[in-house]
Amino acid sequence: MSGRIFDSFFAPKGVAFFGSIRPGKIGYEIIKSTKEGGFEGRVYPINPAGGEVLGYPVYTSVSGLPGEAELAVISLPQRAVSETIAECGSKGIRAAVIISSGFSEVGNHQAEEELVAVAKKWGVRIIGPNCAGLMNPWARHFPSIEVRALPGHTAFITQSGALGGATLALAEERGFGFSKFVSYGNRCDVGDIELLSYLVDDPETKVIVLYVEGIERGREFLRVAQRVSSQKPVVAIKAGRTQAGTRAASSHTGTLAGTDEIYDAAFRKSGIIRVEGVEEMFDLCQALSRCPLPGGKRVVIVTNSGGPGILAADRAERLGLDVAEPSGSLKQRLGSRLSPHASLKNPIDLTVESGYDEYRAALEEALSEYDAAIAINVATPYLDSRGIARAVIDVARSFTKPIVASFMAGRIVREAVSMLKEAGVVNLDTGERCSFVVSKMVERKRNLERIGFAPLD
Amino acid sequence: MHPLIEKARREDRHLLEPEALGLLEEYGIVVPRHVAVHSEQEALAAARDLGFPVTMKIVSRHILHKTESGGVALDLRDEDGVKEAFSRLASVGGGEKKGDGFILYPFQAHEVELAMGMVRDAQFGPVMTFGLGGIWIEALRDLAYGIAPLSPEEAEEMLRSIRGRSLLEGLRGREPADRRALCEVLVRLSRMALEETAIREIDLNPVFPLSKGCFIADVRVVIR
Repeated sequence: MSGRIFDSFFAPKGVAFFGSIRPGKIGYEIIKSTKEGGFEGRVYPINPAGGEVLGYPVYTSVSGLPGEAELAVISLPQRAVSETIAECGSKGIRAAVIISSGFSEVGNHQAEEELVAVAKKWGVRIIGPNCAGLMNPWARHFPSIEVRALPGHTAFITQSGALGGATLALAEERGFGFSKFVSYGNRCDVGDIELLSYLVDDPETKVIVLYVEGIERGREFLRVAQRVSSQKPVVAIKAGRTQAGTRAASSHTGTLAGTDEIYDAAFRKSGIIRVEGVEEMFDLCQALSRCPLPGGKRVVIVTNSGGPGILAADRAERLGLDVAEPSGSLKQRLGSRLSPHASLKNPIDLTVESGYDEYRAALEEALSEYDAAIAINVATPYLDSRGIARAVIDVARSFTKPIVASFMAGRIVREAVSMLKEAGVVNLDTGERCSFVVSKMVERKRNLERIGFAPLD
Repeated sequence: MHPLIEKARREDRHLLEPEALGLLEEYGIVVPRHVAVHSEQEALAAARDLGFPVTMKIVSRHILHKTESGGVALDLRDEDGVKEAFSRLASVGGGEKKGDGFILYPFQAHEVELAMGMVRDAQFGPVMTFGLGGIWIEALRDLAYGIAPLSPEEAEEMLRSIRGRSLLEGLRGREPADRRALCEVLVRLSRMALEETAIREIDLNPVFPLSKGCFIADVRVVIR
């Protein structure tokens, strides 16, 4: 598919909305979201009742529109969908998002086959049916019923509309933004493969996330994903971790290969990074879109308190990171700049009353030797964390190595955390989560370096 | 389609062991010296030719798992041993389920048993496996997976990623395994799996790692 059709999906100049215009109904809510989201293109609600909705005149059919619509958003009952696609096609609309359900997901394969045939005949490309719609926050384009996404740099492609909706709601809470959101539902036409190909060239997208339950056209998917992930990180959340040994097989190895292990191997082959769920995805995508990648797996943990630093170190080691002690010469340099009470191992424990100077010295010196740093601040209410935040920010700016912060916790670090956020430093609730993110950045770096890997046919 | 596979398909059976070994050889995989025989006389001649001790196995289109069926005789040290084993194995393959002969290898002493193989996945095509073999495969399920085609680097990553990897590294003063030889088998097997699309599964199990090369002690090629 050419990029042109995706412009019709993601940045149309005019949109025709087919569905109910009664408040509370899906059709109405989509138009409302479009209006409240500040869509600047032409809005054409279409309903035989005519009249007006949310200040827009309602047209009784697609033939009477005063201007061009590039995209159709359809929330009509299932039985009316195919016919509407034909009408759209005859009027030159080439892209349709079908929210309506009642197709293959309820066993109605006949209706879906008919829909596909009609769409093919008229040259209309489809996202859906049975989906939650799409969003392009950068174009203020929100043809969906879900919580409107903030603009950001992560593209999110989801097979499950409900999971997509919940992710958007969570993201809003955290101020996490998206470059594009697509829920493709039954995937009767446009799916992961074409979306990946489109998003690799999308300037707003720095990281692509896939939520998948099952992959179709597997070899082709891997080929495309291998190409895309060599340019942008692709992160996958795969549901269904079990099912080992369910297939009928005649050999020992055959019986033992579980679906999940095969997905793991497939993701590895194509350079896709797998995460367990939405939380990990948020953490990792922030880091991948903001931090430079580490050159290796040596990580230093700088902290002002023992426990949280040790927890981070334990997790880092379990995840295969190298939490080695500083070299003799580094210890010497650290010793000359830090208080004699500081512990010069890894974690480097600066002790409780450390501020800007100590954090800056420790991070600066350590990063000359390590590939990545985790900066932990367990705040004390009577001490100001803003100085520590400034130190982290200053060092992050002067190194092309990743620093991930964990400022604990709540109200007493709120100001410091917003400073970090504004400066583009990733701050996570716990040091363990920082370790996870660093380990996945190391994986990403390794993927990029796998030149020796056999390409897919 | 390879003529051996075509023939097996026509006869509605999987590859017989001598055929499977022949196919592996065509893909450049080093297999043990072996002789296929049909009589006691031939078995004795083959054993003399290979040199004692030998291993003798039944070849049968009806038997996929030979050890479980009593179709394997290991470490036969002289002609009497071969004769005794021959009559025992002949009775396993007797009756209506007539056997397809016997195969003899030089007997290979070993400590570690590995497995390598392939399962064809409906979505991703040939999925290669590597891990501990023999009875350990079911007991520990210590397997690594990789999507074909494999490069030597990917094969090496599979070797490194099993829990039992230290068994390849020469524990307690033993010689380390020839990793390159193991990787070579995996790489070539992945190529074969991609080209011979009528193969559903491949199971090389056990494979003995040696300090130079490796010894493929049994092979199953399942046709779809």
